[in-house]
Order: sequence, then C-alpha cells, then structure tokens
Amino acid sequence: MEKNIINLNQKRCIGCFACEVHCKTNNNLPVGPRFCRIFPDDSDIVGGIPKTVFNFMPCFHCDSPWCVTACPTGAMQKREKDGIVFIDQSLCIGCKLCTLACPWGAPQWNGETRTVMKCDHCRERVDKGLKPACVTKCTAHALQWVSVETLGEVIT
Amino acid sequence: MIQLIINDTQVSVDPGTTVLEAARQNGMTIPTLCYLKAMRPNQACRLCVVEVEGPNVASTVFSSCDLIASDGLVVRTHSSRILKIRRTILELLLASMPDNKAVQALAEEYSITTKRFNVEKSDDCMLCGICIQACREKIGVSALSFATSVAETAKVAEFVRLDKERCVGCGTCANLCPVGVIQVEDKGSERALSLYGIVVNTLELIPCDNCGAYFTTGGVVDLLKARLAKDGLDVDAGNCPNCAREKNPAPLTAHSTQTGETA
Repeated sequence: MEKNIINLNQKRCIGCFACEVHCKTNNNLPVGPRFCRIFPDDSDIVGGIPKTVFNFMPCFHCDSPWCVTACPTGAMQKREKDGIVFIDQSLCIGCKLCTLACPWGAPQWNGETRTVMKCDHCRERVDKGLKPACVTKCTAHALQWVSVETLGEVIT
Repeated sequence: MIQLIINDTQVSVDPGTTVLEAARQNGMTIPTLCYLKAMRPNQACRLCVVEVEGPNVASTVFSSCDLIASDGLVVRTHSSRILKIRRTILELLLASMPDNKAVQALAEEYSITTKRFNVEKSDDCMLCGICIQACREKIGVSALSFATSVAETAKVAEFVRLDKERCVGCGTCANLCPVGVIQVEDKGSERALSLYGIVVNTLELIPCDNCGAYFTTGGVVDLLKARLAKDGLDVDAGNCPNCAREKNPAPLTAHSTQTGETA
C-alpha cells in the first residue's frame, strides 16, 4: 500500500491560509465545513526576531480510523490502495457520530447537504497523478506531498 | 452487467441495482419522497411507480425503489398509465399532507390543481418509517416505533411514537425525515426533540471543556463509546469537534515538523 501524507515544513509556512482557501474551492464547500485548518502555535525566535509557528490540521487518514468504526452505515470508508479515508455521501444519514469520534474533529458537518464531508486528500486529483489542492497551491511551498517511506528523508 | 431498457434507452447496470437507481444513474428522473440510498427501500410514498414488462413479466406496475433490475426488463417511467397512477397518488398525498412543500412542488409539476380527496385529520407525516428504520437498524437504539391510537384493536399504523427512555438524542431521525415532522432544537443546555410539533423529549447537553459550547448528549457519547470499543478504540468527548481540532495534539505519525530547510 502506497501511503502519502501531507507534511508541513513549519519553517516555510507564513500562515497565509491559501491551503484552506484552495481546499474549499476545490471541494466546492459552503460556509461552515473546513477540511483542513491552519492554527497559530507558540511563537519562536528566529535570528533574534519573533516568528509565529503554524500547525496544519488536515485529516490524518489513520491506520485504524475512529470515524470508520463509528459510522453505522458504512458511508465512511478507508481505501485499500492508498489508505485514503473518505465518505460516500449518498450513504451518510447525518448521525454525526464520526465528528465526535475523531480525536481531531476532522469530519465536517455540511448543513446544506445535511451530511458529513471530509478531507479525502483530493482523491480525484491524486488518482490523476496530481497533488492535493492545498499542497499544489501552498504559496510558500511549505506543504509537501510525501510518501510515508520517504518521510524520514524529508523531515531530517 | 445487467442489460435493461428504460424509456426506450438501453442501459447497463451492476447486478443488484434497483430500477430506480438504474434510471437515476442514467440521468432519468423518477420522483420519490421516501427513498434514501443509505436505507432499505420503504415503498411508502409510492411515487416511484413504473411500468415494467419482461421476459417473464406481463406489463405490471411496480414501485421501482425495491425492484431489482434484471436482464431484458423493459421499464417505462412516464407512460400515460404511470402518469395517471402517479397523479392519483399525488392527489392522495396532497390530501393527507396539504402543507408539505415537497408534495406541493410535485403536485405543481404534475399539474394538479383541483382537490379531489378530503381527509378528516391531516399532518405532514406519510408514515414512511425512515426515522424508525434509522433509529432501529442504523443507530441501534429502537426509540421510535409505529403506533395506533386504539391499542391492540387496529393494526394499521397511524403515527410515530417515541420511547423517551431509549432515545439518546442523536437527531438522526430529524435529519432524515423527508417532511420535517421530527425536529431537533438545541436551546442553551437542553436539546428538545419534537414530533408532530409537540416536544416529546428533552435531553441535557454536555458542554465543551475548552469553549463551553453545548455540543452533544451523554447518551450519544455512551453509544459512540460502545461502537468504538468493538475495535479497541475509545473517545474522550471532553472537547467539542472544533476545539478537538485546535487543542488535541497531532498524532506522532505526523504531518508537521519544526525541522527541514529554512526559507
């Protein structure tokens, strides 16, 4: 199984929120649901100058996802080939158990469709050999689309 | 693949697909009120009726939501016979739920202007049972059931009843109800569930440890814990989903790092 993750190089992130904007645009999201979030963390001193550090919170596509176990209809699924966790919205009954089950609140409630939606690493783009929208449009090239195998090389 | 003909068009669908799904997959519309892909077909609203002919079937009218497509089936979704039947069904639905927006819209689409039927008591509920099915089969709580006003004598369901003791207040029934007869409203620290416009259950909500917003009920958390336990998982429902995202630390497998090249 070839598993990729989105890695944030915090030294490059400037907190411009382009990732969030392009995520919402690519997924056609209404007001409310946000598949990925940028949160400011503690500030750091870089070269004698204070710098805000940002954390990126997408869905982590866990190996044993809470949301998949919690889902009573089988709408929430984990893809065999690359481990992407996604939701088949036509099977979602809106019980919201997944939103509570996820330790990071990744599944998002869409009040317009009355179903849950979530980050699926832009699987339609990934299937075409492209990167997720957030990574592609990251203005500072802080977000990286890396395979789990080569992650060690990227972060050292 | 199963080959069938819908409205003179040859279509092929996966085995096990219903005629309704087959038509929708090929861009043909069949009206429904009670159909949801996630649920067992209810055949309650009857609007999905189609005319079916096949190698072993003489021309018959079926509800398409629960009719599995088979090879050589010839389906007509808008023949004059079907339109006549569907109009009558709509007239009956309109008589029993005169204020329902979805029914009104369909009645207009099928150009129904006169009122042929009158009923003594009308509410918006069409007794489709989606709420009961979701509560029993999906959520596993069985708080909702059909009921009659005369105990034991009449066997025909007249309304939906809620067992307060069993209800956990998840709100799935209200979310799914196609006619809005069940409503859930959060007011302060209480969640009120109303059926036919009458509040039938109020439940205490749990506040978020971080922001203090009320976000779920204790019953839902217990239900979730029981579901997760079967895979050896647990949930700490202290923070609401929004705060969990901001405050709970990211897993070790991941995804952000302080090291790396400097810009």
